[in-house]
Amino acid sequence: MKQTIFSIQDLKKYYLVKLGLFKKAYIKAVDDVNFLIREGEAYCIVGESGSGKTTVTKMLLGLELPTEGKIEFLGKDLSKLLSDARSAKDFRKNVQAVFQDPFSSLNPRKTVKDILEKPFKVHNEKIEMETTERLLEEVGLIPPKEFLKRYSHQLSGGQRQRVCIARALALKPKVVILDEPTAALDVTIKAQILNLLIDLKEKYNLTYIIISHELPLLKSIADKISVMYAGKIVEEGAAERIFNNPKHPYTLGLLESIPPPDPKSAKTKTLPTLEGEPPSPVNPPKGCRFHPRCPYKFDLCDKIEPEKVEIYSEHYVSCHLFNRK
Amino acid sequence: MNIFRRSRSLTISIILLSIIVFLGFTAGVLTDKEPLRTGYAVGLTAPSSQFPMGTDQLGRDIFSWTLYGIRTALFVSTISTGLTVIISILIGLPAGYFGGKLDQLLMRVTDFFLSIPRFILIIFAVIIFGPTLTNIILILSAFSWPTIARIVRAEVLSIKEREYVQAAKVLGAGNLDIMFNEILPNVMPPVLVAAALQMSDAILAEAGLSFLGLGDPNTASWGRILAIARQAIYVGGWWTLLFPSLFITATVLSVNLLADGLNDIFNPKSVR
Repeated sequence: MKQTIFSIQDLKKYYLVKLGLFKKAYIKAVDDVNFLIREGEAYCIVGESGSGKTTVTKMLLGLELPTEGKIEFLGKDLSKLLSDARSAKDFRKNVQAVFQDPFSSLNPRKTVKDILEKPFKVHNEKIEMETTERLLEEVGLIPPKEFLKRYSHQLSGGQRQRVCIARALALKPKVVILDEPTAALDVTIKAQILNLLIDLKEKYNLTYIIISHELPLLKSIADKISVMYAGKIVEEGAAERIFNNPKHPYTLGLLESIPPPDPKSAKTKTLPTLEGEPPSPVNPPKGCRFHPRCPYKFDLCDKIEPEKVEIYSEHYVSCHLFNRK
Repeated sequence: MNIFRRSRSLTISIILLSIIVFLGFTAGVLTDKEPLRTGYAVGLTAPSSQFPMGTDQLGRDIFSWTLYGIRTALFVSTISTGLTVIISILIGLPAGYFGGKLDQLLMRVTDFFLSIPRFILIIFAVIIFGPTLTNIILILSAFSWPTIARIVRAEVLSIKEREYVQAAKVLGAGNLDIMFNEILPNVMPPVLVAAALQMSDAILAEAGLSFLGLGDPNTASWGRILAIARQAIYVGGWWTLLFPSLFITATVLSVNLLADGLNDIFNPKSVR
């Protein structure tokens, strides 16, 4: 069994909102989430916007504090790791991130050279002339000398994302958290970036946590997928199983809403759609949170919250359809 | 040169300002008379070849006084604006970045200063601490920071949510590092515009203080000539009023145009 990198237990994140002078409510962005991430895995979290997937990564990065629950990194409590300056630095070195929007993730007043030297400066490490150049070569920005003195507005979207990846790799991390790494890019560039990520993963034995809503792209990279809906994980399992044999009605709906690549069949067939919209995170539906949109809904669904069931080894579904004894 | 084509205000202001600065620097060459020395002429003298801008009742040369006045105006306004900007950043940056209680505290202090008429406060402070040039500069900056501090805070609030700030946090950068190296450079454009406006305010405030007799008695200030003009004008001494006023107007106008021009450059979208 491979080493467990992240272990997440009963993770919750509620945001307090003031609805009026006295009325208060909680936005349940993440509600009772459990999962494990093992070394060398590409763990993907998918879901619609507002499902809480970005909040989960923010907590994994220590940018947000969980309301409840525990995050363990290599067996140690994350909140304790971050409270000590030394172990916090160590954690930062090991866990890096690439953000969604390459247009705002590079400081507009800095050159690529400044940006890539920053990680070394923060950790008081020596910077050699070749260090930054090698990083740029690594992410396919060739010739590196030409890119070093550029500002982010002089780069294309794909090039920016490559710089972000280079920055994330600078400190040789174990884990890279990718928050929608391809969402803001052109279709052709998406594939290039994805291939680059796959190559780098193999080369450095990286562990990826990928947040995305682009299921087809994930096919080529994901080892494990968990599907989030309204702050909860509704299905989790090996990527192959999820793609070929999805269990939860929501996963099914997500997979069916991908347009088929063949234009002829796409024209004759209207796409099956998930009716309705994601529920309000302030006041989620009773019972199963998906029941108002679920085509297979029956009498239990709006009363009792479904338990997590292991239907294959390490393939979990939270749905009453699989819980009838 | 591209910059000048983008903003006409900037071009005009830079031409005007360089003329004014040039006159200020070469004051010693352009006139051999000392600015505050009495007795160059007997009584109020109209402009002539000897006194291009005439003299006042005590025979002081208005031309040399006005030119040396440029030095005072620019010195007071640039130094006090510089200090104002530094104070504003030191207050606005942590307030916006840390938020919470610190923000509440700093912003209430800011509101307090904003709620009192500034010029009256400045007059009181000058009366208490004495009218020296240093005091005037310090007092001007001490009471001018609230507006710019608010601008800094508002900008920080928006910029701290950008992903490059998050990325710096993820890299393990400290709060000071993030505030001054990642956020501050991106806060500066609107602050520079506000600073230019502050500079014209400072010129007017200094002139105003001198007009009220609260300027440094040992420096040549436009405001003091205007105070003299208040009496001289009744006996036809229009030149004592006209020339210093022209210089005040031209300087304030060019500094305001500079602010406008900077704004054009930093927000190119707002122009078209």
